[in-house]
Amino acid sequence: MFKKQITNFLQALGRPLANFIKRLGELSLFIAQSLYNCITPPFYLKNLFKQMIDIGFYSLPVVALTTVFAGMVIALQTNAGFSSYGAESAVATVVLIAVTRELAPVFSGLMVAGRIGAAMAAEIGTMRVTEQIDALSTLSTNPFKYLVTPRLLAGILVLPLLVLVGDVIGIFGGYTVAIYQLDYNAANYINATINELQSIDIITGLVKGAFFGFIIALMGCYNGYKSKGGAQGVGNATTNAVVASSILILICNYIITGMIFTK
Amino acid sequence: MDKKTPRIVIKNLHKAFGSKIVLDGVDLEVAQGESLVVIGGSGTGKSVLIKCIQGLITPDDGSIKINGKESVGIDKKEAEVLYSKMGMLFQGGALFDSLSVWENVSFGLIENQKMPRKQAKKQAIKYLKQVGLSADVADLSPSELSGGMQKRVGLARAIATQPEIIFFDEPTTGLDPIMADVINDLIISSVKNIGASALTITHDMASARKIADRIAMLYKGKIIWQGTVEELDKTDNPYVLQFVNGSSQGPIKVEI
Repeated sequence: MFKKQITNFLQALGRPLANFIKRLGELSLFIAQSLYNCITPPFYLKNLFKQMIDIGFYSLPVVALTTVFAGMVIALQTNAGFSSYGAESAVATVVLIAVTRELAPVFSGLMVAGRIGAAMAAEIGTMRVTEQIDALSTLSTNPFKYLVTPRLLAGILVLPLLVLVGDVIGIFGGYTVAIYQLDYNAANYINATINELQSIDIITGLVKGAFFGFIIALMGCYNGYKSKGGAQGVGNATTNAVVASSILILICNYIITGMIFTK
Repeated sequence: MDKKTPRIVIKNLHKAFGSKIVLDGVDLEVAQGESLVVIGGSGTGKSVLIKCIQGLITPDDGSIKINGKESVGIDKKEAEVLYSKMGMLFQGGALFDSLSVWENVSFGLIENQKMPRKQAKKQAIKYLKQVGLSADVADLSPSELSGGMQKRVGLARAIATQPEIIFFDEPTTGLDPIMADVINDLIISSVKNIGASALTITHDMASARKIADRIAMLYKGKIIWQGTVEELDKTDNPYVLQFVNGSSQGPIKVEI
């Protein structure tokens, strides 16, 4: 009796762990396979360009909207926090650092994860359950190269560009609040911004963008590719892709910040 | 390869998913230019069988020879050559919905044979005509077509690369009886036209009788009977009789 309880307990503990390790192994193989396929021909350039347009161009509005408001709110909060110690120069600096180092990459990443990660998982998942992926194989086309590789490359290449756009728009958002709402001097604000501008801040943001792009495309493709069981399976794949990429983006963001900015 | 080498020879094929045994020692042969139909109930492993032959699923044990060459466990490059000679009509059509109808039909020609797009479109329209579709549908998207038309486009795509072996996965499922017969006729004519061998899996007996040179029955992971349509009518095998007559009473127990 007692022995059975222990066995049950251990089973309850062991099954999720075994599943987790299995998933981790699957994912590692998937990553290895994707990276290998990124550097071996044939390359489907047309698919790559299509994905770059989808991920980059069509995400511009959401990235612009989120970063502009992020920049604006940072300006307001910094003003509130520093008003007793000469907030004018602090606002420009804090907006610059917060937007370029953290807000533009993280918000772009999260928005694209919701927009593109979900779409990738849904599209590839539907292709899986309707046998379109098998159909690619029977037409002598490697589905990995045709579907996964272009998406991964597009994610890695395009997200940094989106982050760059987010940088400019976020700083502009802070500027508008500082000048038009808080009545700062425009020339002083711009001067402070330019004086504080450092390439390491921008570069960190771009590096983060590249990692986030990889995470988003990887999670979208992986969950879609492994989905099974009809509409419900595709639904699960979509949810998993967005949740997993959002969490991984935040963890990865912390790690990269920690590696670059703690001395 | 001489003329007598069978297109496909399967020996002692085994496949299990976890503890569920799906194929339990399948032996089967398809000759050149022959149309073999594998019948069997739902969930008897018919789909797994053709996926093994096409290399989409790796079997646990056994041998599959294609044109006399072993295909189980060969390296990727050799496999690509072998599998490039196969075509497949999927049950749901499996048309690429991001591409237009003609791009679907000429997919293999554009992506693998590197045919210029203009020429590929002409070829696509030629194959669409062969399956009874006009050039008007070429620029439509697959989702704008009816189920029967999607099957025809799938058939056009399967024959466009001039394969030596074509697989048909439940070609008439979900179609009305008249459209089903149209598809049967198209299968016969298109396969004969390009001189291919055909392996069809179905549980539609009318379709099986019409397109088969030979019929094999798969039950519990084994081929339990095979023969021509005439032999099918004379057989006293109780399993085959029950399946052909569609009776719930008999040696085959349906798990409910």
